[in-house]
Amino acid sequence: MKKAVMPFAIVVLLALVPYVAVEFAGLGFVFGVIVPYLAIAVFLIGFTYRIIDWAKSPVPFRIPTTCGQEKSLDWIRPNRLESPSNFFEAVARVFSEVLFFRSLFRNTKAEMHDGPKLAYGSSKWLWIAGLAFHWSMLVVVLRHYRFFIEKVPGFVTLLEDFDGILDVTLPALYLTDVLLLGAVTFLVLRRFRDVKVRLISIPADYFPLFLLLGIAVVGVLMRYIVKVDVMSVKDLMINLVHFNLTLPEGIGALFYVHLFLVCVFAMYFPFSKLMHMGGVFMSPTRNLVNNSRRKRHVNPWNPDIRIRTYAEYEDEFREKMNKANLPVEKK
Amino acid sequence: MRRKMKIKEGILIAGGLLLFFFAVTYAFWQEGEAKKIPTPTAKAPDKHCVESREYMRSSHMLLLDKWRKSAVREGERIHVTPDGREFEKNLSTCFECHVSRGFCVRCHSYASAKPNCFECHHEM
Repeated sequence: MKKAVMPFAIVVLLALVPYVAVEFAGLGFVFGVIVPYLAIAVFLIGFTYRIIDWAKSPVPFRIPTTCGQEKSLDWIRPNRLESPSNFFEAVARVFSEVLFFRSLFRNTKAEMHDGPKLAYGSSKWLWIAGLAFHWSMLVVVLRHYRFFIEKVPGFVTLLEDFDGILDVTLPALYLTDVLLLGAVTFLVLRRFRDVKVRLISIPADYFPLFLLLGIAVVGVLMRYIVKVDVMSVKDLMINLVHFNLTLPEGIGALFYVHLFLVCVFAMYFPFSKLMHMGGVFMSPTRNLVNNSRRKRHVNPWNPDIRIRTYAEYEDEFREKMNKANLPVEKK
Repeated sequence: MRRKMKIKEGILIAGGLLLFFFAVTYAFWQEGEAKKIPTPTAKAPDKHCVESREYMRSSHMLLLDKWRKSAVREGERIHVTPDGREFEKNLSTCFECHVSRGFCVRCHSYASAKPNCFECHHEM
């Protein structure tokens, strides 16, 4: 339980820091201007560092984890997506993973039944919750462009229209808000519920979940219940992206909590499991072409070993072998 | 163990990174300077609004929503402020000082928030 309580306490503490600092110490400039710049710098530099680090890591062998027929003889039908044989099939495979989580779709669950019998069954909940969470997150992030760009781009208003299509509650309820909160809650409960998943879950699994939950809850609060002055918020953001370092008056303290948690998220990102965002593209078990039967792949750092053939051996020892009546190939 | 990147791989990875950076910093590349936010003014600036300016700025939609429910569904058409002033719960009450729809639109379009008042109140 400690594994989950500690990250939770840290997130609560992180949420309190800007609240206290802005409300009682007047440190709005620090949390509204300095920390966001710091966060985006750490995010971009850290992200690049990790990607370059992975790019430099050796991939000596073909190690795609395939689950389909490799391209072989003409009359054997290859599985082009599961066992890609050229660059474009590999790209399609990576993107099917990125966009639709194909490998999670195959998730199975093992259960012990009376007997004793071990049964495996398909388990799609993680796949569904994962999809709901990631896609909602994408829409939510894109929707936030309305605060950063003076003339809001068309795709953002389009997203807002579709997202608020239910048109219930006064600032129209966004579907993605509901989906995101629901999915993250499920992902937390999933780790608590199953004893096997609970056992392998570490604080680094809970922390991003609680952090996201915190960001989303504060965001939803600001939109629907405890209002902040949206105009000043946008003023601050427009100022930030144009490097005009001023802090508008009168933004609610709740906003700084939201912003600070997002900054923590951005700074934590490159050094955590969240890097699966970039990693999914760099994973050799997913992005390699499965062509090891058609093409010889040699480990690039194999040492240049001098090979001694049998013929050379015999040349050296022929006389002695003849004396000892050992059979030789060349007389 | 480090290795030299293959050129094709390098181009792909660098291209992907650049694309990602562009998406993240999209707002930074937008044209224009940091402008002042629109500050439309009411006709009678010395008169007090229903609530404080800060409250109205952030939460006027909640008040209007409350007005709609209590006026239309419960028939309570008079709003009494804490300091005893009375207002008729009616959009025309707002428009007495905040002359036209233009007052709303300037901020609403800036913040990309669509008021749905005028879907029914065409005449305003």
